[in-house]
Amino acid sequence: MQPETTPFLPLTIQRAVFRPRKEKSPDLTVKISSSLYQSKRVNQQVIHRPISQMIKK
Amino acid sequence: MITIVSEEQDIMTDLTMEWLARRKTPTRRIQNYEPQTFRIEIDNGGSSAAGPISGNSHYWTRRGKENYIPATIDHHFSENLPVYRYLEQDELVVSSYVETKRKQQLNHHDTGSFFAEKKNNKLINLELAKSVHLLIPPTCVTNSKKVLAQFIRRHKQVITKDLCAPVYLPGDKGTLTSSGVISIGLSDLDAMADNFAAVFVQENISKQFEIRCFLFRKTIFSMAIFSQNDQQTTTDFRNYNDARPNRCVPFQLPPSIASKLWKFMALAELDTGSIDLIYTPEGEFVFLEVNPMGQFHWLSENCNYYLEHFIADSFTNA
Amino acid sequence: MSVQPTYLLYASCVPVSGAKRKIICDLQRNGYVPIPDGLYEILTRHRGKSHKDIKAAYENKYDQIIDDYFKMLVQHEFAFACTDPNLFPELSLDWKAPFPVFNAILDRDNNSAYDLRSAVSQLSGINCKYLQLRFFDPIDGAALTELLQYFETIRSATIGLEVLVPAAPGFTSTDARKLLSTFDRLNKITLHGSPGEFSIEEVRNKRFLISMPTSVDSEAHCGIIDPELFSINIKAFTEAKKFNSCLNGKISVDRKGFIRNCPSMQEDFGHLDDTSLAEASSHPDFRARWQMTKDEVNVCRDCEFRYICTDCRAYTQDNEADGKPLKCGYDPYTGEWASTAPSNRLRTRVRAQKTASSSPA
Repeated sequence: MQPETTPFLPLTIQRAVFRPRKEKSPDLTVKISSSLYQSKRVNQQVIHRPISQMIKK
Repeated sequence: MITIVSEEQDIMTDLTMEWLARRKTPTRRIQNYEPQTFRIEIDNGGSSAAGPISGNSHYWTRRGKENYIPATIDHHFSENLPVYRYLEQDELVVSSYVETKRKQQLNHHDTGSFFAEKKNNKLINLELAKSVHLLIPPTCVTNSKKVLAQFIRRHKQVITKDLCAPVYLPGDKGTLTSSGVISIGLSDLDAMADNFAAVFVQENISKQFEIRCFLFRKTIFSMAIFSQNDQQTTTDFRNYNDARPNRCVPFQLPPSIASKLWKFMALAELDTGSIDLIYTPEGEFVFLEVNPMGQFHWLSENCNYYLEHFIADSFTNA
Repeated sequence: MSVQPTYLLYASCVPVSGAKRKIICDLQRNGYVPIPDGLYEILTRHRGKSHKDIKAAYENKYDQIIDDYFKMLVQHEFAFACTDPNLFPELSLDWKAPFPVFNAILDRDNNSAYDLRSAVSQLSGINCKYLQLRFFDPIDGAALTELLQYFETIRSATIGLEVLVPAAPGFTSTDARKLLSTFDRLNKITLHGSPGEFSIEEVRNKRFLISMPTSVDSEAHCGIIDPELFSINIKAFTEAKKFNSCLNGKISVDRKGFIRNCPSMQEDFGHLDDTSLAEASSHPDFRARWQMTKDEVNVCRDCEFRYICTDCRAYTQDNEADGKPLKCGYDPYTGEWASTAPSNRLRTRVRAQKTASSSPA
């Protein structure tokens, strides 16, 4: 569980959760300059199955 | 020309753009941060305007809004300065004018609204839902410890959640974010002052499952979320469990409930949005809230709805 | 009077029947479990009936077993009890892709002379989203960097890029990590012929460096069928129901520049020097290869894994168009995996094919 803090007491009962900065960013967007999306950043989409089947443990 | 206003991270925008490209439909994507040049002239002969207002066959305000302040503002003023907020307020007048004009011109070939999101009010919405005979959780908002204690005593199982937007406070060592929906009891009041900022509490509604509905123009797509089995998500499915995701399955809303949701949407002046419902152990549907610009990619993907295709088609066939 | 409960599978849990075994494919949590024949029958023939009616359908002879079955399914979150099954439709089997060609393979070795940039730019032009580049001979890191920069200059529609490259002094895991950290559209680098054990490293968010000891010196390494390579998700399952689970939406350029459904296929659709990828991929015979589902393939049609398994149409049993993949060691009639795939037969076949393709046309 995440450590919970109550930084706003006694002014409000709603709690906030402190999430320490992570090494790996949870941000799934990447800077891809693509004409298709007319955007310099698009979400990373991942193919749903292997493109070829050469890699095996 | 179809125009989509969105955030750069929005995956549904990306996916919809693909279908529009496939149909070779001229499309323009406006990122919410990209400054737009505009002109509005109003005189005794009439008024004229240019910029994002003109030349659209359909306009979809997916996330955020058009930006009319030059990007160089950051060079002059920090976001925290009052002058920044002053300029933003002026900008809202422009945005509001542009949205109003556009809606008039496009005559319903326009979906979503920044101002609908901005004025979205959980309390008013609960009253609107009640007025169309949807069940709602008993709710209280107060700044008094005494009133809060009374509510908790009366309803026993009580939850609190954000009244408006979630907390998001980035810092050097990490980020403070809302804890989402949490249960509270009388003991939680000990640390509180006698008066405090508004607290939003509701009776905790027990559930068989939750329902997320995405409404777009004339169609509803629903998904049932089984969060009850998982301690981590029992109070709110947004406390995600990544390793063992909640079961999310397609759901067919009964016509009587669907028709109430449409009545609600009409009263709330929304043409799109995501509605959260609870399905109780007694088989009743309870309205929780609407998010005019909510995320729906996870709904589309879990239920295999291909909402990106549906949305692109609704623009090109309209 | 209380309503009789009905037990339903969650829509993403789909039962599939094989000749010997039955399984439930869990398309949301990416797994599968074997189930008894009797339970398969209950879940399919009697879907939507109340618990009481199902028991009655078996003349109440198996009440305890039926109770146990559903208790187990609920406990493992494959099924839930409800009072109105009509509210829970089955998963739609729709499969859609905005652009017909969505995945591609470009093969390269030291002798490859076709224009790689042209291939990359053409793939972007037909909005092919995923691309795998397979280098069979050692390459220079600088050349790869230059190519990756090229994707940026053309604002390529290819957003998911995988590279297979031999581990060599000119291109090490350090070089690979650097590229994965620099180029956002690069998802994966596989260093084949790496010293040490097979390993997967997440260099940064969803960017992987795979090191594998096996050297991949030709397209003949492809076509492995193995539970490790199963794709147990809604998109792959629904695609496999309607299309070939390997060749659908695929185009490739082999080492010599010939355009094929995949580099291992015998038939070509012209050379990149004189045929465009758009042209080749629109050819009716090219598209015909996308259509063959596992339901039409010998042996596979009786296999319980047919909608989560990848296929191979290049190396097939007896070289038949509808033959079972040669590198599959599973026998759906016994429910057992052979300890060794028929690799000897394969080698002979590949050698014969290589000889055939290198002889003058």
